[in-house]
Amino acid sequence: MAGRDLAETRALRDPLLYGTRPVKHPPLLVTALLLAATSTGCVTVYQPLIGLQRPVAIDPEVGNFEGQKILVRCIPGDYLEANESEQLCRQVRTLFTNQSATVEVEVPRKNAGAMERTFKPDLIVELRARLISESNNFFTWVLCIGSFTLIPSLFELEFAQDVTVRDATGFLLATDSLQARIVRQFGLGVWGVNGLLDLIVRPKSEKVTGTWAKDALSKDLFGHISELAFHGRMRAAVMNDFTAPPAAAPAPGAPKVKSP
Amino acid sequence: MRAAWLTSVVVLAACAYDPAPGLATGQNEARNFECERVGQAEAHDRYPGDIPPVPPRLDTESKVDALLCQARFVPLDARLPRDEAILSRLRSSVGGLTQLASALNPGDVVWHVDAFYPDPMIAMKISVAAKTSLFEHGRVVSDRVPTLAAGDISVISRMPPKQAYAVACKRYFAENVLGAHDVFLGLMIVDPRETQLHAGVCQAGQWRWVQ
Repeated sequence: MAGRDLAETRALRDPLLYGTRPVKHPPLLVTALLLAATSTGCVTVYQPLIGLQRPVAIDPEVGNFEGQKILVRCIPGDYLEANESEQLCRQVRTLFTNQSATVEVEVPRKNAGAMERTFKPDLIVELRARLISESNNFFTWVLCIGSFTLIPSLFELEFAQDVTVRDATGFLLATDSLQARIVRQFGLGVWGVNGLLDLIVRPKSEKVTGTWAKDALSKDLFGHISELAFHGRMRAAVMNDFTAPPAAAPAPGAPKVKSP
Repeated sequence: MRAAWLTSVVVLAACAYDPAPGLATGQNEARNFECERVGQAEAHDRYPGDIPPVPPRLDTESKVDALLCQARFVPLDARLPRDEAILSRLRSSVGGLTQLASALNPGDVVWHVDAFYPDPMIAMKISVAAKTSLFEHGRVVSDRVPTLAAGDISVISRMPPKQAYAVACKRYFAENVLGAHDVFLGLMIVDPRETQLHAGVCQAGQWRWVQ
């Protein structure tokens, strides 16, 4: 008895031990279908919309911000909670640190006092996310369940990431709104067909299943944030008549200074 | 059973119209769509044959919208990323710069324009866009591009941007390439990694950055 209690307690603590308990197994096919439908039957696609679909010219893996002090402010809102803002800020900090900047992050919270800053920033990058539209059609869920997930259910959302770059005095240097659309399809049919297409027909760069949506969104978003911050840096240099010239900036299209 | 098949066909047909990557659209193809979400009323105004009008008794709280997509004329990978970024926003960026420059020199002057960009073809497009924009603002625009002597160019081309444009401006005036009633507008990128344009104005031998 004591041994059984101990086993049950351990099973509660460690979900992996549940498998050792004697249970009546459902038919194998149903289990396989349910497992497939719940764990892998989701296909998430990402479509870059306004701003994000433009190619990025800057290489975010080289020192574009040498000697620059950047303050990244991730402002929570209706779409992005404070903890998600913090996560975003951490990722953007890594992004700029990898480009040779000294970075500090700030997530303003309600009822919180002003944060202490360790430096006066050259650039302040502000990030705000907002939801543009969201649709989770009940009818497609009914169809999905009614057809044993052969007909996919659809969940769709569009969001905008507003990026603003200012100098230490608050002067606006660059701004843009980057928009993306995420479509999540759930169902064995859509997952199976896309999986087969990925396996047989589509080239690696065109694959839809797996983590490509997350990877592509990160690449586009962080590339554009880097580019906007760099634009802010260059605009600040020009507006200040190059009093603090960028260290790594090569001469301006030297070949083209032919005509002045 | 027949209804299930029919529904599958309808859902698949709907997927074929979806511009997001999936069964009917590839990832690269999806990138070449320019999409924006608009309300049903505006969508109907633009595409009256495809989008039905807003029903007159519709609840004002109801939110029906449409994602309008248009395939790009020039695919995104047809040009270099920097050229693509500059050209895709050329009208708005050059329009803003010429408006600022024009406001700085409201007098009765003749405008000369040139662009400094690594690719001469793109430089020409930027220059033509700026001239057109100035002309649209009612300014007198010259087709003549001011040039300097070879010796001046060889010295100036080795200078950093801070000095190069200011020195060139002085030389224009000293050599009477530009007169008292001439204004030169230069558009350029200052760093090869940039995809935004800057502008400066040269008048009476004085160079002034606009943006």
